[in-house]
Amino acid sequence: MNSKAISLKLVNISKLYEKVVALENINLEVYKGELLTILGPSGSGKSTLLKIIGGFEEPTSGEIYINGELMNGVPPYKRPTSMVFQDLALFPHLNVFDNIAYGLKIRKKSIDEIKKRVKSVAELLHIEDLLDRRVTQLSGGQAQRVALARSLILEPEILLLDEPLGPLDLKLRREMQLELRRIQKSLNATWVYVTHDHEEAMVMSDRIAILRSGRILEVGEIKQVYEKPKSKFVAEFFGETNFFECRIEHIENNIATSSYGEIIFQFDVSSDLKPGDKVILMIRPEKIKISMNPLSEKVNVARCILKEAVYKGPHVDMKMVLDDSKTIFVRSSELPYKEGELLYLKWRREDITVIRE
Amino acid sequence: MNRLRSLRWRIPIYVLYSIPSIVYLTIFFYIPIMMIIVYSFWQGGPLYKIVRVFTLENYVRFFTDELSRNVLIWTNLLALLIFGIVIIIAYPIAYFLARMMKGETGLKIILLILIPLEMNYLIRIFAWRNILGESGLINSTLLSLGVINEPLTMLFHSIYAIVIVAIHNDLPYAIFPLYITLKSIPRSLYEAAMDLGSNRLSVFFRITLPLSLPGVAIAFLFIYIPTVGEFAIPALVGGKTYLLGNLITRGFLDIGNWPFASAATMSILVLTLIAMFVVFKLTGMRWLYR
Repeated sequence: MNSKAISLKLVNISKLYEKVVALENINLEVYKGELLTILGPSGSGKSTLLKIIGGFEEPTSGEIYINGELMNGVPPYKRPTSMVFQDLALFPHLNVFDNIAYGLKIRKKSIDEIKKRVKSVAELLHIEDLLDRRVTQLSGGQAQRVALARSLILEPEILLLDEPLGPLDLKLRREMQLELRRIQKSLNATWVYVTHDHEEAMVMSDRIAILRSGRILEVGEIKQVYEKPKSKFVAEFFGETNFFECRIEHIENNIATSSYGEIIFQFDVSSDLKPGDKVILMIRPEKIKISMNPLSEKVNVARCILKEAVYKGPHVDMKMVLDDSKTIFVRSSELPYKEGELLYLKWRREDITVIRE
Repeated sequence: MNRLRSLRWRIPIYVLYSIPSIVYLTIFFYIPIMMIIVYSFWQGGPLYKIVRVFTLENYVRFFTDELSRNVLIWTNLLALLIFGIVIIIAYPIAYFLARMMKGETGLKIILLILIPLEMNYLIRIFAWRNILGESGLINSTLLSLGVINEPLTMLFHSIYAIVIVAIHNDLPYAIFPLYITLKSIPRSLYEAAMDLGSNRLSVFFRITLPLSLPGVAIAFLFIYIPTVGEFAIPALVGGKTYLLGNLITRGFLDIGNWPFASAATMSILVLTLIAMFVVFKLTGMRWLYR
């Protein structure tokens, strides 16, 4: 992983707007050929970060390197980046062809070359038939492709995408996510993608950086961020999940034991934790197995009552209550149980994620 | 009976609302215009002589008579010149207010610019006498400084005075529409152009200017067309200068040749409509606001 070439490097980036901190000590590396998603709720500073990379905003402090070159103070038109804007920002007075050709015309390329390159990028995005249209005549999905083509034609070192799929309806969005990912892979291009939608982030990314209140909480591959998050916020950002706050009672062979009410947890720990440490244990709802009969195991099991079940088609979301009225979320593929029924839950040792606060 | 009632209910309410304005416009606008059209095709002569016989003579005379043809050309050139100068002055002001000012500040300044329009048109023109006149501000200052020995007469009762006064009068009509169009261009378009390789100059000529052309077209509508028909400014500060508006006023009031004055009026109306159509076509008004 570390052997990969670094395309973009942000060092201690901070941004203040009249004493309001928008970004604080952002350190981030983006490798060549990867799609990194910056995921965060609105107001987390993700668009500001993208604008700093693109050169539309200057950081208050910190450095931006692209291919090892310092980019601070370099205007957008001299950076090897290109941005797909949230509102797409297609030029309304130009037709589709002229929108796509804009960057090449500025670079004074020959008409033949412009035509050739517009044609090939239009083919890549399946918009060959739209080139003569006015941009005001395009549908949402078509406009999307034109905006992408306008940036891709310049073969930018880094493509920045600011929630470009926001206004599309869900079905089209799902299609475009897969198509964007396919294009990115086929070009082996470096993309930085901003979104607030965790599902979109999971579908599209190689790695995800999670931003909250101007700080990066975590950077990692999807599986790692989803299954082994380092903070409660990150764990919750990917959907409802279960937390159990408890103390480590004892550790033997790197397996720790804790209890939460009647439940006894056993889980793997790294060597730097010791008995008495406070931890938060996280178990994803889909990792929990349900049984109608009492279980022989004594650890990593729970006994509770089914309070509410919501049928969602592919799966069923259930809320269970423990004796002390704590709610446990469980996701199952079927629903043979009745509300109010006594059920037995179990989970595997490796499904427990330890979060330190 | 039932049928009648249902028919009555089908008249949309906005038709009812429009009746007062339609009546008003018919009496005070459409009928007079019709009368002017009819007059323009009658034979006429000085001292309100009107012969109710169809003729094209008035139109032929308007376009072929040397005096009226020269007046037509000079008025149009002067209107174009005034329009051009106003745009050159107004554009940077509107650009500054729309793009450099934060939030509502620009709009507040625009309101200050619009306030003088509340004052009577003639008073505004007369006010210039105090600045440009023989004992006006400029002359008295220059005299007391010893730059000149006797008052400059070219400042007042001249074509220069018309240009100066017209520019002053017309500036708000250019600043306001330009401000509106410049303000309505999304910031992301400038950013996108810069992102794709345009420097500030290139952004201006490739994005800002083409997208602000509708504002220029509106300004054209507000400035060029009234200037072509302007008669108060030349009459009050123009001295011997004689523009189309004065030609028509004289035709109606002094000479009393209503058919000829009517033909002149209709000719200008048609010419300005054509000019407007061409300008709107060129500036892409149609597709931008579709």
